[in-house]
Amino acid sequence: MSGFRIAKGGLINREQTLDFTFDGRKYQGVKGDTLASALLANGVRIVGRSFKYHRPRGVWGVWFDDPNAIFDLTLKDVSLPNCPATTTHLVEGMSARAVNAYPSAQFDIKGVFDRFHRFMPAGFYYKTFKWPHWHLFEPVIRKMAGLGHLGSEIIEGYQSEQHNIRCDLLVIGGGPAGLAGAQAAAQAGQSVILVDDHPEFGGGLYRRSKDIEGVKPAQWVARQCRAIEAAGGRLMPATTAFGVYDHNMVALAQDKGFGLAPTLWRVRAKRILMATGATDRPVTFANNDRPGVMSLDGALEYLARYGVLVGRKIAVLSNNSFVEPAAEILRRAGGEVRVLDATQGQAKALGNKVLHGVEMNGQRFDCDTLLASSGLTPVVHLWRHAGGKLDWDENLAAFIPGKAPDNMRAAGAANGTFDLDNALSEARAKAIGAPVPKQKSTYRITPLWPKPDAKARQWIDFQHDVTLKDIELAARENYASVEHLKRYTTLGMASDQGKTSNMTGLAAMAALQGRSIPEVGTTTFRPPFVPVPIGLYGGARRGQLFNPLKRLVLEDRHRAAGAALGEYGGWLRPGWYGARDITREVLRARNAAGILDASPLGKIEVMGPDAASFVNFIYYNTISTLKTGCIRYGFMLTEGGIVYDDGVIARLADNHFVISCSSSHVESVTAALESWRQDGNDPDRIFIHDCTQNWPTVTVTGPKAREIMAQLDLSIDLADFPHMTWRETRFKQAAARVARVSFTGDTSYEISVPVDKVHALWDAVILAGKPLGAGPIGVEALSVLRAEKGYIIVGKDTDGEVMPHDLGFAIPRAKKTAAFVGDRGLHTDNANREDRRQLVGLRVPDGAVALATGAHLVEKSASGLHSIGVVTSSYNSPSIGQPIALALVEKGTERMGETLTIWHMDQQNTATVVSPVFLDPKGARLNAG
Amino acid sequence: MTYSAFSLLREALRNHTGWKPAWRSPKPRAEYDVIIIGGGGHGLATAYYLAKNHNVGRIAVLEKGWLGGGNTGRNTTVIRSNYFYPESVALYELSMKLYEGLSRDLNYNVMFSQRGMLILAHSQPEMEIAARTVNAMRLNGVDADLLGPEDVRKRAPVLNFRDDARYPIHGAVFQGRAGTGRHDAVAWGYARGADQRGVDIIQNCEVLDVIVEGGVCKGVETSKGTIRAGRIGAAVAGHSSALAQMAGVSLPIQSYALQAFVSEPLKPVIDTVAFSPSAGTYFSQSDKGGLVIGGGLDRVPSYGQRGNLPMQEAVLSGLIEMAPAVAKVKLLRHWAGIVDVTPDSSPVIGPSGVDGLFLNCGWGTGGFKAIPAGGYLFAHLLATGTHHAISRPFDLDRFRSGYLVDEGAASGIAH
Amino acid sequence: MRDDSTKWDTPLGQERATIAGDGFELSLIPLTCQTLISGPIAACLAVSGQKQAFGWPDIVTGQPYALRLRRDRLLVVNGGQQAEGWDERGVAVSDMTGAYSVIEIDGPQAIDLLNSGTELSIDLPSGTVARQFHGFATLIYRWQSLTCYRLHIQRCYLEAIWKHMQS
Repeated sequence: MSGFRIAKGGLINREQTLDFTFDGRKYQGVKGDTLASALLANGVRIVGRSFKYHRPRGVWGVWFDDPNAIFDLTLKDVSLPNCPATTTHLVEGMSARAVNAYPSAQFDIKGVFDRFHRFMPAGFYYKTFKWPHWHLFEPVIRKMAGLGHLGSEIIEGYQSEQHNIRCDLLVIGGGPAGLAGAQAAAQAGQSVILVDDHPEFGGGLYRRSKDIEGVKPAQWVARQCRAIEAAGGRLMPATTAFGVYDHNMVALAQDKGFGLAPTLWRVRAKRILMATGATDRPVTFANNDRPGVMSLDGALEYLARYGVLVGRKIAVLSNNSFVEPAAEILRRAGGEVRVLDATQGQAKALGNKVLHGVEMNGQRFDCDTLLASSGLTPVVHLWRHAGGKLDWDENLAAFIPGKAPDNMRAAGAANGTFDLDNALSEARAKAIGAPVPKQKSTYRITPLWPKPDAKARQWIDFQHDVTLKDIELAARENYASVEHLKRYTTLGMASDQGKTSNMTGLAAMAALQGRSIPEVGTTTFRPPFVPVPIGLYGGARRGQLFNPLKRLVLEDRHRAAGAALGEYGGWLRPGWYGARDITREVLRARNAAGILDASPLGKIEVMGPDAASFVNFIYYNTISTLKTGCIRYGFMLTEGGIVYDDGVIARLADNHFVISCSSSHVESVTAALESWRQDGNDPDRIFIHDCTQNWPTVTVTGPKAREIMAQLDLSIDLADFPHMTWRETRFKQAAARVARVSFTGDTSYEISVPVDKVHALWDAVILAGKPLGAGPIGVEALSVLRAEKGYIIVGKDTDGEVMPHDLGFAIPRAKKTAAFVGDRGLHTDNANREDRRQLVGLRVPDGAVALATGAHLVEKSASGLHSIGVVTSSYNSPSIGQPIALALVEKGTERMGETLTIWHMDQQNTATVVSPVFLDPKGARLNAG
Repeated sequence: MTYSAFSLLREALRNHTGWKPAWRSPKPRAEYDVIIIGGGGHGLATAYYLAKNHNVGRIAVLEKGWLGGGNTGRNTTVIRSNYFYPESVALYELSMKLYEGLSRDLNYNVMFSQRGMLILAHSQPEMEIAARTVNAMRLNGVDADLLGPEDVRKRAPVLNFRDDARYPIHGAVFQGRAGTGRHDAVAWGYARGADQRGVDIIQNCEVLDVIVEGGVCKGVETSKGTIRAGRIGAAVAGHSSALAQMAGVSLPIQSYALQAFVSEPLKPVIDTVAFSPSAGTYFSQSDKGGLVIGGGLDRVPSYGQRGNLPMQEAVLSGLIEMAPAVAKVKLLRHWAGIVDVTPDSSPVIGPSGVDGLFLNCGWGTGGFKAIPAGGYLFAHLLATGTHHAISRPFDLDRFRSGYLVDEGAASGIAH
Repeated sequence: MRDDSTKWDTPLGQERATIAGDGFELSLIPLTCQTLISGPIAACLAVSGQKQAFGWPDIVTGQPYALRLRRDRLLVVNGGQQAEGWDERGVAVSDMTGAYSVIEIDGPQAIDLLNSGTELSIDLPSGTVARQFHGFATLIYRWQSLTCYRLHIQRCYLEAIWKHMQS
């Protein structure tokens, strides 16, 4: 037993006891404890094992600076991996297990690895495991790697809230400097947010100070908090600022309790005051990884916040002026304290599993705890995220904030200001942009850096087992830059992100190479400052809220009619109605009429005096000759000449066109049109309105379509309504637009009405259609109907290579003289190749099954089979009575009647090249009536 | 000095004092036969193959920072050759095959783990595209399988098979030989191999200008002085446009930040690489236990080597959709590289247009998997002045002839 | 293809219950008349008969009223039917009545609710009311009082936005 709870003191409630287990044993803590403080209070000394050698590990630090105490935690039915014991508050019923230790941290069977440490220096796996093959060794290594265990269960409702918030001043860190700065700014009229990652404000204030500005620390903190809130400031405890991003964006993770996702706050701060404090650097000495070796500052914090004295016989090993006051505090709490000057010789920790003494300069001292500090390191991560520079301060033997990022300042220990009074005045000044008074520092430190060449091992990274010898090895092998050092040895890459190892590591490298510390420099600081759950970034974007689908106005009608709804082009649309029988729906459309919700079809209106020349430029086809009231089919190309979208364009007036593009492309086509509108045109003469949402559409298609139309009271002379024309009329006293266009090859009418009339329209069409055998059809049937006519679907029957002349539309390429998008791309060597893949139809032998979409057409050559094309669409066609397919095939149009080999998953079949228009090639059905 | 279990054993008993530097830190000479600008994976591999395959005598690699510190040290370590066009397949298969023998060849364990890659398909149309891709790969002689949902579940049970999945899994394209490698080791292995063959790797040497005399590139001005060379190859991902500008060459390249992420280390969760084009995210698990995660580009062109929150949220939301159980796993770190994106998502390998200066760039988000092939082919180009058959289709002139190799669909994520 | 009918919540109708949240109430406002007018802004105002087009953080009042969407675009709400197409006064006119669903959010915490999906502040003026909200293109403006806001969203995304607000 070493640590114990003192009778009085700490920000805990001794009355409220909490039961928990660790590695199967029962313990008790109190409200306000972290798991670490509770275990220390119970005298538990071994809380984990190191990653590589499985050496026993005790708690080192008190908050985010601990690399050793990492547990898999279960509470009721929620399990979380890799929970740091020092930052996880104790809850009744918690069950903790040390990660990567079996059966327990105390008795890990892999502890035997340490015997073979000589064979496992840094980077040893680069030098071996090559023969016979890495795969032989990898599975074993993967099982041994990793820390916590991830269960497969999903925590229901584990979803972070996310909020945006603004302020004039964001103060990060609620210790004395942060509290003082926040109060000053709030009272000066600024909107202030003060965040601190502890549940109680005060930071490191409780550790050292008897009183502050005449009152006890707890009182002072309370006073500051009240004053800040009274002045309109916002206090956010239990909230960690974990990243600073471009444009003054700071991300906060607000703790909501165990098993709940933290809340993400995105703060846009006009100014930021970083008052994040400083942490102890370990002392690098022989066997310094023994459980019982701890941070000096950490020990003071355990006492002040948690009422835990970490040991009884305590040795203090340090090099700076904080030592004596710290020793006094520990003595007053009941510890037997001996102070050792770390600069006066080489220390060595004694003990096998746990510390039982320290040897220095030939003398031995018994102790159960050794508190080490080679100085304070300001916590500057956020400064670096924001692009601020660091300066090396010889007097402090630390990197401190240097050239500031715009709008960011640092105060207090984070800025290297370790004296309390200085910190307060500095923070108060910087918070309001006032000049900082000149200050004298009382902090004295004799630089103490790792000394290479000692016999025993000296640890730099406790979790990853990186020792000074590893750094010597890295230097010897010329992995000398600080980034190479880090990656080669893995120092600083553990879950503590190098908070206790980076400084000592780079100082060691500096010493080895005879360079100064600033010359060696630091590695890149990146968010998150502490590990944060991935769920924090996800927010509510799950399930239906992840890439939500667009919904049809008529969805209720489709559901009522028993439709199967599916995702098509970003919309939730009826795939089919009732029991899945696509054949039935296709035949219904061919023999009577199909009724289809075509609302997703784009309706992009182009208006203005230059609209005509504009659409003529946008389209591959000539549009300028399109008459008012007429419709034309056309392609939009990329600048490279590739087919980007197809659709129809209607001319409503001289200056008014409606582009009906594919439903999945509406946003991108609108954006492309806007982009071209602004490029080389007078933008006041062309306007583009995406009106897709304003005009739901019902399509009636089939031989009986006209009969149905006649009953709809649309005031159109159906006898004078040729294919590819447009009528504007009224339906139930509202505007209606009717286009006679067809995607099925039968007479089709697309009726668009306002949103508040479409239910009536749908009902009327259904009613009129029923006695004629007409009924609703879904997207699946539509896909078959259009394929029967050889109509393409862009993105399915075309890809990133297909040009319009591959699809049989060659005239504009040859004849259109006006400039258009993609023109140049249509005349490259590639565009002129003779063996381009062209759209054809395919017929299978009698009795054969439909081809697989994605099957390739192949030809034999000297080197074997090679692909000459691909099947893009394939269906059983009820109208034709046999399977049909569309394909892109090299020199396709020259191969009519040829039988080709189809290759699919190593199986071969044959198919004959035919025209892609399987049904009614002369278009009689289209133009009927 | 050979790396082996034996030498490791021997040195273990000597306190590891006998290991030699992995590479020297030489001062640059005034002149070389070939200078390679860029000490990342491609540059170092080029130097290695120049020395090994072509016996070129005096070679220097000039690296602005520390070798391997650019995109080679920042990627998500995926190696695959599941591409659609035969030209791409030839390129990435060459690379895959070189990777398969690389650890032995370099005498440095790059930890190439061929544990397979799944490209998930979440609908019938996606399965059709998957079939098309698998067929294309198999016809090109590359291993590929089309898996159904049960096979995917067996391979990666951590993926989302819940009823409320936004993107239910219909199946996947599976390439068994694909996998991951240790990115730093690839750079270090090539560096050591090149150095052993006499290549001077000059770190902390920034090229400030390109010397062009009479329309011919003759050398470079650097922060360590003027260095002249017979031929110069630039392999500087993220800065290709800027460097080409020094020689007056304009490239059809836009540079964007590409972010990558790693989680805390976990006991094994997934053994393969999984990519969901619909979710916009892919991930794998490193041999140390962290989940390595990637997604699409940050929207704004930048040289910043850092990305921002919106893309982080997008990629990680996608990860949670792919594997909901990981929502509670903590993110350890994220970083970014700068990728050079070409109009067809395929690289540029070939002469620059200025005699004596050659380019290997434009790899977009896919440069790591291609390091061995990039080096191999670029070495051929620099040694002989002409293309290897496999690099010919990737010459800059394809943007004029229109013979693009548009792998937009294949890489799925950013382009 | 799959049948995903059960994976997507059945849409609520036009008459849907108000969502009562912590410090705010959210309701769907019945269809108003909405007209999109594009052109030089003076011409747009002339055609619409409005004196001004509101931006952020203007408190919008009046019936009808005009919202500024772009340098050269406004949306007139409740202004009555306009002839669609190109107007010789130099503007393009389209009906958008059915295109946008309109949600009203009222209460002291309404602004915080909005800040869950976008960055919005009275201190940050903007000429336009157009904004991204939870990734959707929307129009957001203050309506008649200090705590009331209106949000226009494309009708096809109403269900998604509504579900967002409910969660």
